[in-house]
Amino acid sequence: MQKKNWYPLDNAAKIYPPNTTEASPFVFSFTARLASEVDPEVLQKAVNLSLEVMPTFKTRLKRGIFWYYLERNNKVATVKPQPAHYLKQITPESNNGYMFEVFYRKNTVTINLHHSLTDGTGGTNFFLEILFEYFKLMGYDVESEGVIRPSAAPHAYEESEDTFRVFDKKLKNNSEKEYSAYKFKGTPFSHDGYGIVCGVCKVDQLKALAKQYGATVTEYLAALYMYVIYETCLQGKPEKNKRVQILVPINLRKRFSSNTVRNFSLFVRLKHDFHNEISFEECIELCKKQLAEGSTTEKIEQLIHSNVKLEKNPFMKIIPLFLKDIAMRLVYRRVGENLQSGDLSNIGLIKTPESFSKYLKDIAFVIGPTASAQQNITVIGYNGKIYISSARGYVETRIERELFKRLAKNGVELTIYSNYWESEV
Amino acid sequence: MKYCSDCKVKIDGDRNHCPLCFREVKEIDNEKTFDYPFAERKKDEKYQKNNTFVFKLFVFMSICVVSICLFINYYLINEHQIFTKWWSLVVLSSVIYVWVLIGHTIISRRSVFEKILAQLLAIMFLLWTCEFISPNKTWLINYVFPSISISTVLSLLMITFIRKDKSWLLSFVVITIILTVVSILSFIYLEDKHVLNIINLAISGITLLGYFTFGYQAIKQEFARKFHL
Ligand SMILES: [Zn+2]
Repeated sequence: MQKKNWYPLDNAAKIYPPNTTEASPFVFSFTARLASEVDPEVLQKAVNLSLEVMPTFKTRLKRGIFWYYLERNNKVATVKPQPAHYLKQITPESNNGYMFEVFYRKNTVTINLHHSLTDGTGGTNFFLEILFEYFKLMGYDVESEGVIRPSAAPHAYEESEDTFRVFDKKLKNNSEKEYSAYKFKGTPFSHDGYGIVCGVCKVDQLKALAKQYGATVTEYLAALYMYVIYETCLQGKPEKNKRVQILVPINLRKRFSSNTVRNFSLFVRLKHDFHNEISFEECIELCKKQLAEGSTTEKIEQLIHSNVKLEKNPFMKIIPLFLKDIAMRLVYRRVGENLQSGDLSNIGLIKTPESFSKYLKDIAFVIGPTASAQQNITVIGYNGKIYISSARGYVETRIERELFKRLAKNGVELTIYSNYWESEV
Repeated sequence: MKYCSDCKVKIDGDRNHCPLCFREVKEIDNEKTFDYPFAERKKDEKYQKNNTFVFKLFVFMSICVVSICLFINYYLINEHQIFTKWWSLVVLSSVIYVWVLIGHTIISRRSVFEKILAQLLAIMFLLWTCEFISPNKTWLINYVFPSISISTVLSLLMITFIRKDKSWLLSFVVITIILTVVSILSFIYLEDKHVLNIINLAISGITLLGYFTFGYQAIKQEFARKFHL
């Protein structure tokens, strides 16, 4: 059989290309701080090697007559110095066609990924692969330790499969009525770019705090995020729409035992109308309940089916791409943009080989704001620390301030980093 | 490391204020744990949006040139009967051609197929307006179309041979098919069949046959990609 050198976009990725603009770049990023200064030439070699190991990323996005697809890209994915404008839209024309970018600055490596390629977990795998190759090329003694796939292993088919289609079962989706969500209001920056604030704390402290409420870290932070939005933006204000709706992505790989490095996560929408005032404790209970209900296997299979059904519909299939683009924009505006205030995305503790800890000091994960979700909170854990990042599209920092203040008040020791974007002129 | 006594957090950064509450903060130790990759924005770095001035200028100039010519043309014909030809049509089609050339072919990110097709249509329209005002009404279909068709087919064939990347092949084949179909139609409906029409038909037919004989696999693959459902 001839080697397949193209992939159709996976089910979840299909919505992103037509909706990508400068204001909604759909970019997320990982940053690693290494023990020593990054050597750009070695990094370039590491990227080239990683692309051979994970060919799903060695692609460029192309327009077909009916759908977009990813085609093998034989150009070099050039590594570049980190620009000040973080999470900028990826323009394939200026990037040899690639939908991701690798940057270096001092002793940090950053990768920006477009959502059409993969989700957070797939991105982590690719990023760790690049770091692994980099460490090996630098002559460090690192082992894959079964956590990172050895590069000699042949490319596994299931790594690049669209797992949504594999787990599609015919199920009825009894969807309820959805309402549009509260949107953050703020002063736009005088120049483009995003304000990023990152708080680092110890895993144990945050876990202990969440445990006081009988919640997991995701549940606790989601509830805190919702409640902080309520306290800072809604409480006692004459706001008409007080529905706070937070998207929490759920990684489906473990549940459906899949190894794909493409998109395979779905969202649970946590929502509460704060016209009906509740206490923080009630908010946590509400988040716990909604997360549990939204992530039952049955509910997820329903969601997968309703998404895949649309893609498999023969009438939908034969509509030319330019008309699909228009339809996707309308659909996204109605059910994507309109229904969310922001994201809370928790990658969890990432698994790295033991031998990494000497060379990989810190890691961070940030999701870029979009025109509709002007602020996102992201969480990643590594080596006993948790990195909580916030990226916002406006000047005010009131939500981060309250969020971190509350954590600090409850005994979590935090160190804050910021790109001080608000004071840049 | 700095400390904000209001937010009760440590701050790692080079500024003297807290990034959360903007109050002044004091140094507590020299420890630096995590140098986040925040590059400083250079003062001269430009963050401006695309410059639309040039675009507006071109639109303005195009409208001026075309409307002035149309007016003069109309005035001369109606009032003075100096010219009886609508020569301003050629001005219009030339302006359209320049727009297609700069806006579509050179600047835009359209596919190579759309660019070639737009070029062909724009050139044909320009030459058609030329024929429209000239006394001889047969040169377009007898000479111009066949020569454009032959040169396009042969250039595409040459590019196919030179370029290693075969991703344009399907577009080239479809363009050649379109030109062949138009040639066949003009051949059928033309009363006096000119020698250039026959040469054109032969060349595009043979080229098409060649594409399918030697590039069948590549065309099939590209077709599967572009047309996957
Ligand atoms: Zn402060």
